[in-house]
Parts: sequence; structure tokens; C-alpha cells
Amino acid sequence: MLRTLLVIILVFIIQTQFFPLWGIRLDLFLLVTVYYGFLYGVRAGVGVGLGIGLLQDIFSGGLLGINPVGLIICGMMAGYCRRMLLLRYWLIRVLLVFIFSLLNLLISLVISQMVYHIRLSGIFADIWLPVCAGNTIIAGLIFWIGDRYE
Amino acid sequence: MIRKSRLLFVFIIVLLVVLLSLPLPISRKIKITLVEFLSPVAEVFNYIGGKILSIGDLFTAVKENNILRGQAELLSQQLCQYRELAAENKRLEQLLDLREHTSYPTIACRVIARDAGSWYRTVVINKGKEDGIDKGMPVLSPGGLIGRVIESDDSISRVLLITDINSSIGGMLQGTRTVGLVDGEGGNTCIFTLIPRQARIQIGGRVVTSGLGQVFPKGLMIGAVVKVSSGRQDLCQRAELRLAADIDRIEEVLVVKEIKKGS
Repeated sequence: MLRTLLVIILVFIIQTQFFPLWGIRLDLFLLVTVYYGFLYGVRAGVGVGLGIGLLQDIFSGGLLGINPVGLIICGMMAGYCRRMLLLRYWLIRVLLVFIFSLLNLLISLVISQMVYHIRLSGIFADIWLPVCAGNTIIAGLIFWIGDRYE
Repeated sequence: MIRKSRLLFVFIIVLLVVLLSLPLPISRKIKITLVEFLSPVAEVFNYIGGKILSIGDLFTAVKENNILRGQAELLSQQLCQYRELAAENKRLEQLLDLREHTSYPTIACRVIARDAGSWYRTVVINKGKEDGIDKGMPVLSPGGLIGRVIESDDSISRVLLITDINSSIGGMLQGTRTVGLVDGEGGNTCIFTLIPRQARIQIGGRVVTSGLGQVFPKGLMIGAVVKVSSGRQDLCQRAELRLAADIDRIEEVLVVKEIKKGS
């Protein structure tokens, strides 16, 4: 529990203080949620997603509750994927991260659009694509390090 | 266990639905309150992040330091050049001022070489016969008399300084009009000699050219008296002079082309 809390704090510091960096966008919150889902199952994925999501909401400009929805769903799905045998393959996990990145952004976009009616032009090129690409690349690295550590 | 998980899951969904259903003003109010509550935590995060970022700044600082060091050296050289130009400008202004206040026709010259030997005190200037300079012409600086031309070639000339042991100029105390001879000592000073014993000489008294002999115009500043000496048996007095012109640092001079008769 303490380790999880420390991980959340560390991720929060890195995400808020260092990114975007040289044009690179990442969603470390999603990566950690999915990682916990892959490793520890549905409950861990949902719990971490909720905690990180609420923290993200408090310190962001959006509506309270937007970020936890996407992260909980992704964390839950990642937890269910834990039962897949194919998950032992590193490439499958990286591919799933890409899919979850798209899903999380889609969920956030839908809810935000219902509340704020945000402008859609440029979202794909400026946010979606960089974040999904960044997440996928970093996921490969994190999973590799995580596997070695575990 | 499964029931507990499902209850927890239902609770989370209800919580999210409630949060998303909240009116915007209330949602923002709750957020502000939570931010205020967690602001010390956020400050700590900012502080830690800032410290980590400052490590990266060190590498940037080293690189920037090297660049700035190079620029500083270049600027230092430029500053030296500008100071040199400023000093030359000031000297030339003084020379121009002297030229304008001198009633004689003059030629401005630059000192290009100094005597390398120990016995003689001469300098070489960058103009000669082609510019109208001839042997015997007086040479001035903004401070006062420097010497006279002793050799002249097509494009350069040699000037015998008044401090040379071979130099001897008719001088006069400006205040009392007492005449004498100003002789070079070979060093950086001159001696005002053949002053009548009964003549009153004050320390600080100005000595100028007397104009006798028609070599130097009358009234050109030579120096000031710093010391007077005479022996009991001597018929004349001697006075050591502090020269008005800075003989060792002259760089630009004026050569007097023509002395008007009767001056």
C-alpha cells in the first residue's frame, strides 16, 4: 500500500513537473494504472485508477470525476486482461497500452464534450497522437524494467 | 469476498456518477476546497520537481559559462581597443587644440621609433622632407617643447629631445624674465643653468623659451623649477626643471615649419 502511494506521488511529480518535455507528451497516470491492472488484477487497477484520477482532477482544470472514469475503465480492463495467457508477451502489453491510451482519451473527450463543448479541431494531432505514441514507447521501457524488478 | 468487491465497485460507480452530476459551480467549489487543503502537498511536489530540474540547469550553466567566457574575452579585447582609440582621440584633440592656438604653421606627426641606445635621447617621426620638414625645426607636444629636428630624410625625421646631453636651449623665467640656458641631462630632466647669482628663482616658476638665437620661437613652455642649487664660490645658479611635456610618452607631435621673424 505504501509502495503504491509512493509510486503515485512520484508519478504525479514527474508528470506535472517535467512534461510536456521537448514536445513529448505522456500520460504516466494511465501507464501506472494499466501496469497495476496487468500485475495485480482488477481491484488494483480500479483502485489505482480512482486514486490517481481524483488527484489528477483536483489539480487540473476539468470537472471533478472526468479522469477517474477513463482510468477506472482502463484499469479494470487491464485487470481482466491479466487472465490472458498472451499477456506474458511484452509486445501484447505494449499494444494494449496503445489501445487503452486511445480509449482513455476517447472517454475523457466524450464526457468533456457533454459538459464543456470543447473545440475538436487539432485534438487528434496535438493531443491524441503524441500521447498515444509517447505512452506506447515508454510502456515498452517500463514493462521491461518492471518485469526485471518483479 | 466477492460480495465485498461488488459493493465496493458499486460504491465507486455511484461516487463517480454523483461527482459528474454535480452542478458546475458546486463541483468547482469542492475542487477549490480540496486544492487548498492539498496545497502544502503540491508545494512540496513543486519544490522537489524544482530541485531535480535545477540539476539539469547545472549542465546548461556549464555550457553557457563556456560561451560567456569566450564572449567576455572577446569583449575584453574590444574594450582594450576602444580604450586605446579613446586615448588616441584625446591626444589628437589636444594636439589639434595646440595647433589651433599656435600662431606658427605646423605639421602633425606620429612618433614611430625611440632611440634604443643609452647615450642619446632621440625619437623618429613619420614625416620628412616630402612633407616639408627640415633640419632645425622645433618640435612641440600639447604639454610643451619636445626638441628639434636634427636629421631629415624623405619620409622620416629624427628629433633630438631637450633631455639629450647634446641639447641646449635658450630659456627664460617667465615671471622675472631672467634668461639662462636649458641643458639636457641625459635622463628625464633638464637643468636651467647660467642664471645670475643675484636672480630670484622661485620653486614652481615657469621656464619658457627665450627666443634668442632664432631657433625656437619665444614663449614655448619648457618646464617648472623644482630645485635650486648654487655653491658659495659659484657665480651662477642652477635649477632643476620638471618638464611640461611627458617626454617618455609622446606619441603625436607638431613640427613648427616656420618661425616668424621677430617672434
